[in-house]
Amino acid sequence: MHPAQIPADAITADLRTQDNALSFWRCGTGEDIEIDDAVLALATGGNRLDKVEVVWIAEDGLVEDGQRIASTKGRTPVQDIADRHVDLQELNYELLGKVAAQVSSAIGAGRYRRVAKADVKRLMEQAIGAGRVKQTELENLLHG
Amino acid sequence: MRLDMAQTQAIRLGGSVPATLEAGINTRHFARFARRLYVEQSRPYPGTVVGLPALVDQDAFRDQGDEDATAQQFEKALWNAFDAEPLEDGVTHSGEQIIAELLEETEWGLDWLRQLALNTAAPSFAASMLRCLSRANISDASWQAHLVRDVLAQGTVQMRDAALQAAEQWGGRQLRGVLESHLGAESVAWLRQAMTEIADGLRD
Repeated sequence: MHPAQIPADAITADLRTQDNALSFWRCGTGEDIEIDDAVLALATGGNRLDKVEVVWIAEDGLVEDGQRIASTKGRTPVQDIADRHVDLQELNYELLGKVAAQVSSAIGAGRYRRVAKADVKRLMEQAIGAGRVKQTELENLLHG
Repeated sequence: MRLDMAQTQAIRLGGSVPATLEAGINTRHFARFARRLYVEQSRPYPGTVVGLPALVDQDAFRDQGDEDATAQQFEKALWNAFDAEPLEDGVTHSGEQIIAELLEETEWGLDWLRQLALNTAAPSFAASMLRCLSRANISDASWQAHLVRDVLAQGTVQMRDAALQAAEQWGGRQLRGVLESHLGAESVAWLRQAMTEIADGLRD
């Protein structure tokens, strides 16, 4: 397979949809602090503490691709970011392929980040310290 | 107005394309084909795939008194678990309980899991299995270090990435040493960078 080609595993595993929708978090202009919030949202939506890997892509590009973007309530206990969640909805074979191409381009342009488990934990602790989320709500993640 | 979004489950890193490349569709299909043959040739799986305790029919394998049969049961259960649901960061996976059961029920489980983690004929499965295994409560730091070192030395890119994640998960001085000693031999740039960062993190 040529490096420019998108592997099928990336579609079936990494871009796994539910109800033909794919979950995203808005992160403003992609500043570090905004990416941190997206990482925090993703990490606190899970049920165990792990590293987080993110790619960020321009919404304009998605709009140009004809994607249907809808704001939906995010699954995170950090309330001040819960409303930054969006779904790409009504995805089909063609539209999902376009998402994959956008993700691939973003990676090629260096718009990705791997956040180590220890740094994810630090982000959670900072959010607790700043009063953005109660410690009890992240107890199972931090000490599970 | 320009809005950017962070994607929840993106393709892993810039090097993920060659990583998956090395895993290769052909290789993976071969592994699946081999597994199909294996499944067809062995006796029907007695467990009912509903709820985790039923994933592995413990009574069935106790009666057999046969390590190979037990191993086959667990391997099938693990394949089924990873087929049904990919392992994701931040989310528990049914494979964790299967591994926990294996380690609880057998004395040879660790050695057998090690073989699966080193199986380059099925790199996707091996990588998922190793990541899942790294979530298990294994206290033997030498065993962990030995496994991570061997996967880094022998595995595909996908498997080496899993070994790196296992090292991060388990932590400790020995694993830091393993990562640092492998750095010079690692040919994939993004993996080398991640390795450096994780080794640094293990200093804390």
